[in-house]
Amino acid sequence: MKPCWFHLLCAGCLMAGAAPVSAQQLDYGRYESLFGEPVTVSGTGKPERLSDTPVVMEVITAEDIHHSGARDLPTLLSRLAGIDLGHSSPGTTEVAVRGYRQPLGSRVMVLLNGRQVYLDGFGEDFWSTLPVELSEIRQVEIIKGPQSALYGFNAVSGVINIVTFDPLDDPVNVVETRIGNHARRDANASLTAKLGDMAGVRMTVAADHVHDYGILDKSGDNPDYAKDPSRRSFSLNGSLVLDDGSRFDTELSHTDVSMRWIALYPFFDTRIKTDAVKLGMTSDTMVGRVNATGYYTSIAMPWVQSQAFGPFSMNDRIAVVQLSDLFKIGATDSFRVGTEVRHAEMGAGPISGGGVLKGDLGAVSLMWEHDFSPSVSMVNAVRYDHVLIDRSGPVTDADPFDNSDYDRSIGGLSVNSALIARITDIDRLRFSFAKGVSLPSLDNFGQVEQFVPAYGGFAYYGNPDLTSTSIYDYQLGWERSLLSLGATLSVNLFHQQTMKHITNPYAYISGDFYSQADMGAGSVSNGLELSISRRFRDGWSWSANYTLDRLHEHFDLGYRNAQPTHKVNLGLGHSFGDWEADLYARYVSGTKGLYVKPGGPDDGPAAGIGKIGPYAILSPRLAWKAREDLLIEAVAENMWPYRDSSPQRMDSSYYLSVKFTY
Amino acid sequence: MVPFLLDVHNLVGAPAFQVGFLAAGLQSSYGPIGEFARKRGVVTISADLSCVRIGGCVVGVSSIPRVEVWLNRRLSEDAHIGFSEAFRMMVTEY
Repeated sequence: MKPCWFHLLCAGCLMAGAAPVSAQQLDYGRYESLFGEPVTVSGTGKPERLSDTPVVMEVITAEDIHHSGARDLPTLLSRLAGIDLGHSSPGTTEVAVRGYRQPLGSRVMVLLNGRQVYLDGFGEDFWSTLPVELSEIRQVEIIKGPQSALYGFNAVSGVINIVTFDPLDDPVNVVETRIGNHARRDANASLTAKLGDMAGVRMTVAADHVHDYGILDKSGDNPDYAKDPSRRSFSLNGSLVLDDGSRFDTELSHTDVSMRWIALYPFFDTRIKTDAVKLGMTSDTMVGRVNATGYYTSIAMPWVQSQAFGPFSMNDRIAVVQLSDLFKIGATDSFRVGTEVRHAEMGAGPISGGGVLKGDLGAVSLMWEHDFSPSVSMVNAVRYDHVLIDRSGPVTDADPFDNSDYDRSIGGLSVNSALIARITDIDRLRFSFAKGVSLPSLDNFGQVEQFVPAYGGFAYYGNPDLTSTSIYDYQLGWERSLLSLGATLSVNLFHQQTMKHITNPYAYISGDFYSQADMGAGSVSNGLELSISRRFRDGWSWSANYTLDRLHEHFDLGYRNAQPTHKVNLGLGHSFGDWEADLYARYVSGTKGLYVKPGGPDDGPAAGIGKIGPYAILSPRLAWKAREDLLIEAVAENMWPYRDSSPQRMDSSYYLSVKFTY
Repeated sequence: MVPFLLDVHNLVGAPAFQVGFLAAGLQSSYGPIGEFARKRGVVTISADLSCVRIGGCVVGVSSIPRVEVWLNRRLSEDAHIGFSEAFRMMVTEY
């Protein structure tokens, strides 16, 4: 702990600078220096310290990223308690919070500086399409449990918000290259320019490539479309502060990704082009801290080659406008009122019979936090979402629905309620209840496709009669600061009930292919998460966590099979002179996964459930600071091959990277 | 910021300034210091949280076992010192 005078001076600096910076969206760097811990707005929508947030949240800091040796976000996330990972290919990963990992229909909302990067059309998070490099990231905030009352539909298992450095106050000037086995070739560069005292801009470019190794079954693959995983990314982030303290933030980004991903078992070779533009404004006004944000995201897949359906193309567009007001009444009550409108549309070409599916959403939300005393506070939030569904364009003969069947609406009320009590100077208790709401994706509503003969030749289709489904979540958390060790111990228990599941049109249920999206029986998930961690102090850091997760399905939809019961993560780091050494280990108990084989001239397709054995990963890192501005790093990402899904084997990966900071 | 020392017994003749850090051992002067802050619009900051409770300081900071920041809301309003909503939501207002 730094001496009190350090914090007095920090407070003085914040006071002295209050006028020009008071309206920043959140001055993460200065507040972190003042409080000695990360700060966040993701937990409740209001600024708060990590130790004060009533939700169960973990933060991966820039220092954690530096020592991780990881080259992507899913690898970083996998080292936390309660996170499940599955690879569809060397460049494609599905991430789940507390179970329910599935190829399509992710229950995790992923945000980049508050912008949703979740694809409404497919209900999926494609991590490699995110226009962000690890060196740009200030912190990654992971909230476990439903957060629909703040973020809306589909934030039902958790929220992952990636916060980048502020181009106005935190310059990132770095060039990084990486080579490795499997023809790994990565490069990225960031340049930050300050335009006077009140404006800054950061530009980042990146290119990645790796050989498409590890696929276990290439039958049915079309070599014309089978590409190695590759990624090109460009982003421009800017900030401007006016004399009255109003702040404007903008993002302009483009990514172009080739990848192989999995739906059911058959894989899709895909090219995905993503473009996004965002503008946000935050200002302290007479009525509180007002934020207005608008963004538009376009996802185009010029070709998708599926061994089960043949090649097709599709596109997905999302436009969002959000308005919120954050204010405090008296000394103990904080409020946030918000509204959001959203337009999403998916044109899937031949896969939707040439039609366009649309969803128009309107939502209102209210958050109220009350401090009973300096050590006990409570937060309550509600949000109501209403979605209008529409379809236009031609209808194929295979589709049992016509456009008028899609003229309907769905509504849902989400609730979050939590209590945090600091029972001693070093102990905190958290109790929370949430009702999250999950909405079918546009794909669930209206996709139509015909399997090729090798996969049975039958048609599957979406279902415009689907409804939303509720998830009830109860959590109890205890956190203790171990001052003598400089560590934090946390214990979290959760019980979650999913009332119904929206079965995907790709589903394989209890041994049979399912050819229509529908509302399936619910499930119950119970779990325990234990973690202890010590951030870098005196050259040493260490961490350990254990997750026990039990999932019971009322009907076999495959979630239980995909859910490991036990997970353990260990980490140890040491810095000595110009050298840094880190070691990460992970154990995951066995699961089961689906396999599908196409039929030949004399037989039909075959499918079944196969065992995926337990696995252990060991990932060491050694880095040498050759100069103040030059870091050379050697990493073995996993020292033994392992599998975390049916179709993909992850071979050992070795990297050598050079990072130049200027 | 350009720092200078100020004698708490000679506040009347003090030059204009924005932020004042209180040294230890000034408990007996919290009353006059608070009055000075109120009239001159000075942000007074102390490591003694009782200074905030008494109304001598606008801001109090302690750092053990964790950093705590206290804000005297009435004194800051009387002194016409405004804080951003973000800052107010992360501190304890008294």
